[in-house]
Amino acid sequence: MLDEAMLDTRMFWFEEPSDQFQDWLPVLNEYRTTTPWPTIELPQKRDFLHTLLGTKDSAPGPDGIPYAAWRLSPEDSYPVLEHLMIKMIAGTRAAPVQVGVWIPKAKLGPTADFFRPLGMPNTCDRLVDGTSAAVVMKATSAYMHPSQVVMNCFKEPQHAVNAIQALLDSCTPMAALLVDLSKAFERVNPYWILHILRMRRAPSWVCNYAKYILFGRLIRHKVQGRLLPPRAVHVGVDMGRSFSVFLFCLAMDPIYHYLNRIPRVVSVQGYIDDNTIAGPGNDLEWIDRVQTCYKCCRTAGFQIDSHSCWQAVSADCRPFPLQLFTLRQESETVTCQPRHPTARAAIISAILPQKTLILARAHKCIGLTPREASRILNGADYSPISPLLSLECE
Amino acid sequence: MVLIIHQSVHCCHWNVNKTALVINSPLQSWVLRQLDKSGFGAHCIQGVTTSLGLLLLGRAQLDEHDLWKITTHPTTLKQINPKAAEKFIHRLRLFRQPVLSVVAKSIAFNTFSQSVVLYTTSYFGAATEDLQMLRAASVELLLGRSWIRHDLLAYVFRWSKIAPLLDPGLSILVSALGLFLRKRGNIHELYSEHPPPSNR
Repeated sequence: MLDEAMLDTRMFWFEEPSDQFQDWLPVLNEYRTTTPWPTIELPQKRDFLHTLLGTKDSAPGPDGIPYAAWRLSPEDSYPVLEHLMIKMIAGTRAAPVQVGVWIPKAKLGPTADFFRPLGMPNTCDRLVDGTSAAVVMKATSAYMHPSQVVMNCFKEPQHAVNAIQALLDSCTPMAALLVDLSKAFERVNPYWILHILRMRRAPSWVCNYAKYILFGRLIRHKVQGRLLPPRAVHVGVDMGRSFSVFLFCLAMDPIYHYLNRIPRVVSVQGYIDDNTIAGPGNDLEWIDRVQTCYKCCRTAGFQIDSHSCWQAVSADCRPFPLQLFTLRQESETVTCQPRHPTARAAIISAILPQKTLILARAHKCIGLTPREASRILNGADYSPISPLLSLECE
Repeated sequence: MVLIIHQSVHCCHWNVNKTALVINSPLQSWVLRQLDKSGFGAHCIQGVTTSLGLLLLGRAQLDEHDLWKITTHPTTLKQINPKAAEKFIHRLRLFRQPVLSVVAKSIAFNTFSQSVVLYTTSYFGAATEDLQMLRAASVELLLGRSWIRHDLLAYVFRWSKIAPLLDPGLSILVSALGLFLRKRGNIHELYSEHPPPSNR
């Protein structure tokens, strides 16, 4: 029951992803000009030992083998890990299975949105994964866009905040747009990542390894101390692997390239999925292009959470001033309408000539004449809906 | 129109959505229309917003009367990062046990408790009020009551070799200096007297 409640907001995990290359072309076209990666050698013995000896005693995966067992005799552990890696790259190892747990976010609450999923693969998988990630990151971090703070020489988040704050402290009008991507780690489309790997001419072992961990993952959720049957998750990157961080940064790379090429954008700073874009505050045309970028990449898993609280419907009634939503007989019809982030967007979705437009927000509504609605659409006069604008939304 | 559309700023709770627009000067009406058309909506304008656990400080926001006003910036830790301040207090409570020695409490204060505030204070520094709060917390944890001046306690403990208690002021200074040097800041800049930014 608890597991079902948690998964209620994660139904997209189980939807088969599709390759939407045509939708992504505007962004990926900008990415074609990037430098191909150099040759990356397969992880060597020293790489495995470096990862192995640096492990901590975090919880093991479904097989229950702790890190201490692998550390007991590194010389004997190394050949096993190397063998596992070869099998993963060759595609002959079974799909990765991991324990999934739900950990509470900093902001506490009773619903699924207040928890984040964490995957715990087997320790041997994590050792191979950590080694591969270290080798690939070392070889490619210089090829990532410098807007990605985590790939720079100075990796600390303060750098990103400081760069934007310096612009806001200037004397010229500036605006900084902070973009909140909704569950980006969990949503990212595996095909998007494969296209990027191909464009960067990644070595075949990196592509094969990426395919191994992106497709056919099985998660056994642990709820109240009990392991549940495995479920196949088709989208997103694992929450609990070092390589996932690399893959996610790689997935964001074309977006940073695109955003940096938008005319008048002054600075783009990104820390994993946290993006801030700064541009002039006296003309926000650049924000339109930012929106276009994220619309193109929506099927790739990058969705901006917009706060939508406006609803509209056309009705055969006389225009009326502010009223309680529940007192109107049209309230049931309005409730079925989609919500929009702006009054304008809501009006566009519902406007019909010669009818009253009912605009609703926060349990109140107003009946507008077509003339009043079109004046709002033109941005000429918002006064008819000013009582709605000032309402507190949930 | 400008004044009326701005009312939408007040209609959203802070934590509903982290998408925000921070500005350093009031927007003109046609710029607001651009924002509305882009689909983000005027309600995403905020005077101050959280970015990567720190604050991004704008200069303009709207008041209850739908007029532009200069943004007032938070100064104390409780305002800048309330979660860190709460966590600090919570961690202190975990070590308020009579069975623990003064040395154990001192080490817990230096590491486990102070670590939660250093990320914020390394960037913003600490107000006098914050320093007093942190020092008073150390006195309360180690002595139980204030029978010694809280700003002296760390130095008395270390001079008399009772416990390796660290002055929170010193920890904050070191963390800020560390950030400055890791960013390849020039040590000579620390000697000069730069005027403070005019907007803070």
